[in-house]
Amino acid sequence: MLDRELKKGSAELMILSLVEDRPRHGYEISKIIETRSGGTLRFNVASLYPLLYRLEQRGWIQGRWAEKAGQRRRRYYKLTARGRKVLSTQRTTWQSFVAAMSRITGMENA
Amino acid sequence: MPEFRSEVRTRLASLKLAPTREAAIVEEMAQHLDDRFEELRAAGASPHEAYAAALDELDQGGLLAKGLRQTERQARFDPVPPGGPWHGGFLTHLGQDCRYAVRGLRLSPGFAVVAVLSLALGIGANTAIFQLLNAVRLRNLPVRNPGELFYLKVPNSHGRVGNFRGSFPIFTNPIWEQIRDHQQAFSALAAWNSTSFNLATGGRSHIVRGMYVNGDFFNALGLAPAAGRLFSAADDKKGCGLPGAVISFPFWQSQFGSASAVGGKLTLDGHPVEVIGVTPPGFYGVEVGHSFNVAVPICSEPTIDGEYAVLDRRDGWWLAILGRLKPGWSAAAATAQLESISPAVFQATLPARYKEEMAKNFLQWKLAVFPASAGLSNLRNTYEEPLWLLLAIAGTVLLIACSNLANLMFARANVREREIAVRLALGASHSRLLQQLMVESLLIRSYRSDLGNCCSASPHTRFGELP
Repeated sequence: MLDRELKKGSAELMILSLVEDRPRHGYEISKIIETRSGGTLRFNVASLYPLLYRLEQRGWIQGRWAEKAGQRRRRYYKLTARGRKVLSTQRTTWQSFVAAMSRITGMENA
Repeated sequence: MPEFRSEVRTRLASLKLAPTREAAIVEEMAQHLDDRFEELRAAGASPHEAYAAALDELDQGGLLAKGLRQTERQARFDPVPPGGPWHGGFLTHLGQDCRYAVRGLRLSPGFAVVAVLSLALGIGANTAIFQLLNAVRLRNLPVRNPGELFYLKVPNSHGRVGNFRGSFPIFTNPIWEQIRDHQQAFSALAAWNSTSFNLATGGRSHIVRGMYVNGDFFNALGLAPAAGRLFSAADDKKGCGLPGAVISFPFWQSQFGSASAVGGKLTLDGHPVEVIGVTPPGFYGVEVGHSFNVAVPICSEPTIDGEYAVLDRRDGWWLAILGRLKPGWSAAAATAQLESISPAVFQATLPARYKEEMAKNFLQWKLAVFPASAGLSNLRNTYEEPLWLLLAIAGTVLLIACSNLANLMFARANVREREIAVRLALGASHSRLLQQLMVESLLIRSYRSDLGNCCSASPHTRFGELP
């Protein structure tokens, strides 16, 4: 059975995916989501940070203040080992969901 | 660039976050809003429009506070500075306060050493002297209902002559027998004489502490044997010879080890005797500072002492008597009853050698009873008053040490005024600061208690055998 929290989990999946390769700060994450979705999806400050803190509290990501050359001191989030496992599971679930929806609605032929 | 920190802080106020956590969140979100403001400005918005748009994203109908409330309530994971606001209860901060107190004391070794040493010495002296006083004066005999025990005495028995033996040579055996046969106030009587026996059969002497006791001695004290049996009235009949010996528990352990003592053989001043029983652990006798190893019946005295025996001598003073009051009897009633039998008792036991004046004094003696719940003690008579005086002096020394420490703490508080002010400015509550200072004081107290116990350990060990 598909995860009933799928919709809610999609936001988590996006964030976990974005910090998979390298640590990113909050504003960078929100900009990438907005850019890659072509402006369809947007996270503002009020919705993004509670989510980031929740993921951090669960131990899926880890935030750390760091200062890069020529940039101001920022808090960067990176994926933890536990978060990597969750990401893998959520990706599989999401793929199943998309495949099922496609078969049901015939979107694949659209 | 507009200032977003205060805006964010205002919206987080209702969450009552820990200061460090709030500061981190404010910093992170304000940066985000700065970036967003710059982005909007770059897209052509006026400063006012960009500022308003950024704030609008922050508000989102209270979404921020709502989202954070759930997350932050679940995890108070950020460290709180010592003395910071109270979150999570007393125990949450106890470990932190302890660690901080240890670090603080380590940074002020002079203060720590002076505080701990001054109080440790004061407490150590008090504890040591109190242990002595407790052993000599306060502690009850380790027997059943010690409050029911009273000792018998003739208050004005000056002018006695004769043969005196033991720590409390109050009565002769003839007087003891008269009292035993005629008193009515006591349910049981215990008569004894403290002496010493030589266990060696030749060569080097092996002296142990001994007692002559009447047959009802252990019964009167309410003792049950740890092994074998204790004496009964049947063991204490004139001409009994040496029917057996009862030994103390510590003596059994040291003399016989783990082997059974009952049936074992001892030699008392050259006379063989069989051990018939062992007294319970903790029972040391009835005299403070004079524990016993071996007890034999009073009737054995002629066998052991031979030509120096005092058993039948009317001027042989060697016995002391304890009695357990019958239910319903008071000390005054017991004294009255003993006074009433005194003329007959002393008439029957008048030493033949006493001349007219001495005999007249002797016949006027009156028996009386005195409380004996703590046993009898010559140490008490000799040292009780000096010990109370010493305790008073040690108590004064402790008070002086406390006042010195209070001054030290005041001086330290002045030095730490700045530190405490910073904590208050960071949001520390008075109760949190008080808790932290209390933990520091308790830490000093625990150090000084340990040291105080070490200081008082030596006298405790040395006088440990005192009952």
